[in-house]
Amino acid sequence: MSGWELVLKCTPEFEVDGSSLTALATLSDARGAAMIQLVGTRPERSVDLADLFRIHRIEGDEVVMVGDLSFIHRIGHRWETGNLRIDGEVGAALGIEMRGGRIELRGNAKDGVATQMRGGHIGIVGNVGNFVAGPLSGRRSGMSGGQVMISGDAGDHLGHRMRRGSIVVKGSCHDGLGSELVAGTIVVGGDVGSGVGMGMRRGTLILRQPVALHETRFTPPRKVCLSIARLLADQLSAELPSIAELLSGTFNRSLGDRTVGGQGEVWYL
Amino acid sequence: MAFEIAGVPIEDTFAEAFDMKATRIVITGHTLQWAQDAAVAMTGFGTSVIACGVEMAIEREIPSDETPDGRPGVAVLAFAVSGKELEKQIPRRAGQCVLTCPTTALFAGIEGEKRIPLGKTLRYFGDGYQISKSVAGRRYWRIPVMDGEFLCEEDTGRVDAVGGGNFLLLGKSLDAVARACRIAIDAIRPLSGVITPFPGGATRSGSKVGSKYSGLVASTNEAFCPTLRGLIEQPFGEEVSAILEVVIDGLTPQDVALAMRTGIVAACKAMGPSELVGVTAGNYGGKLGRHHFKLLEVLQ
Repeated sequence: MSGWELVLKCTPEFEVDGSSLTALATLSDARGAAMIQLVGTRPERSVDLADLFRIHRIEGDEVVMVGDLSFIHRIGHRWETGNLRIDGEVGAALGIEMRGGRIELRGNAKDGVATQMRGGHIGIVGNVGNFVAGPLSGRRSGMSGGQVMISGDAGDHLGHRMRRGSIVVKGSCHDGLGSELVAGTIVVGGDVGSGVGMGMRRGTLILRQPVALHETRFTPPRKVCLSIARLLADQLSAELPSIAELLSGTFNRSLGDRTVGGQGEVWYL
Repeated sequence: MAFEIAGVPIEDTFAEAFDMKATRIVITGHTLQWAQDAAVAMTGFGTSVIACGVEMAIEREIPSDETPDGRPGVAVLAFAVSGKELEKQIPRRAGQCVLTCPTTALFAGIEGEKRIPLGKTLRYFGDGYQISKSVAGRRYWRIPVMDGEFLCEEDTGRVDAVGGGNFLLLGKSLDAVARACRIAIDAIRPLSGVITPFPGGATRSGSKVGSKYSGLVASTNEAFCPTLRGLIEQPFGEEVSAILEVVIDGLTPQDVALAMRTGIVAACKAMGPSELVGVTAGNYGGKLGRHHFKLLEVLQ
């Protein structure tokens, strides 16, 4: 792992695929870093990293990127070890197929954060788009490990077909939370839109707000007090004390989605 | 017997102990009583690896602010001659004694690269309704039961350990040696990392290897049976009328040595030479176990 700082100096006229940036994690040669190519998404054009960024070696084992990177998608693709720190906006699919290490973003991210993520930690101080932790196109299940922490709000279909791991959203999320959820844990500290848990098979949705669940899809709420909830409460006490307090006592639990034979659960106030 | 503690002679001999594999689990409950009930059941018939397969006992009570789920609990230590035996005994006992006990939950109590299955095996009781949940990198199983959910960690660690540390108290009367044992055990009980797996912490059936009967791996150690005095040669005098042995298993040799010292000193100081004739230790000539706890060194 090498330390690199990339400061954006100009923005191209086209959007690019940032998958190749992951090579910085193992590169120690400045010339090699400068020659990393970012391929355009459409039209098919490419640009050298050095044409877009001022590149510096820095102490430590992290890659730091600074600037409005909303034109770069798939940053952190298959990220495996070390830290990737970003100050600014990013494009779609941040941390796609991530395997380990940490990605810290101070800014907003577009759709597809943590797509098919397998391990590691993504921390985002900002808002994210739709389909966090979803599957790659054509795959049956999405994120299969790791943690995603979002301080802001999330878009539609948060955790769509997620299979394992955890997502914590301190803010609110839009429609389709946990849609077709396979398993895993999703915590939302704010409001949620419609269609919560639609088609979910297993997994746990933890909500601070009361939620209206369709009676054909979910069992009537039943008050429970669970040991596993206390363990989760310990983990959430710093980031979401209100949720931690909820989990430490008695809360509502509904099971579903019964229309697909699901045994998932929704915990809520 | 030149060395004495509180006037009680200490024999210049050693306790012979063995390499073992150990694990620790934590049982919590709605009340401490439920956790203890499960632990007592689980550790029952766990006195000696000779026939129980495992030596188990409650290590200590754990206050609710130290347990994973914030409920009162107990820590249980288990020792076996092999990892394979632990892998057989622990899930079986957990399934019959903890899963069945109202309100309890079961957690790993020790780190170790090698693992002993807990929920990994017991989850199948859920018959498809079990739920896996990962929290802070640890995997738990939630098994629906009639009082709610049985929460059980996926597995617990396994470590190398020492079993068979011991000392024998030679008393002038059964009453004296029984009281001396209780005092020694009470002194050892607060120590972490050790257990005294026999009933009440002590045993009267000190054994030797083998028997005149084929197929019997251990039999009474007649040399230490006062009722056979005069019939066979015995290593103690006329004034000894009863002997009890405290057997100690520990996670490290240091733990075992500390427990031996603590127990011997407590018993000798409380009883004195008017009640205790001496203290000795059990060994097999040093040929079977690689850990030799020399009493005079342990007590220095």
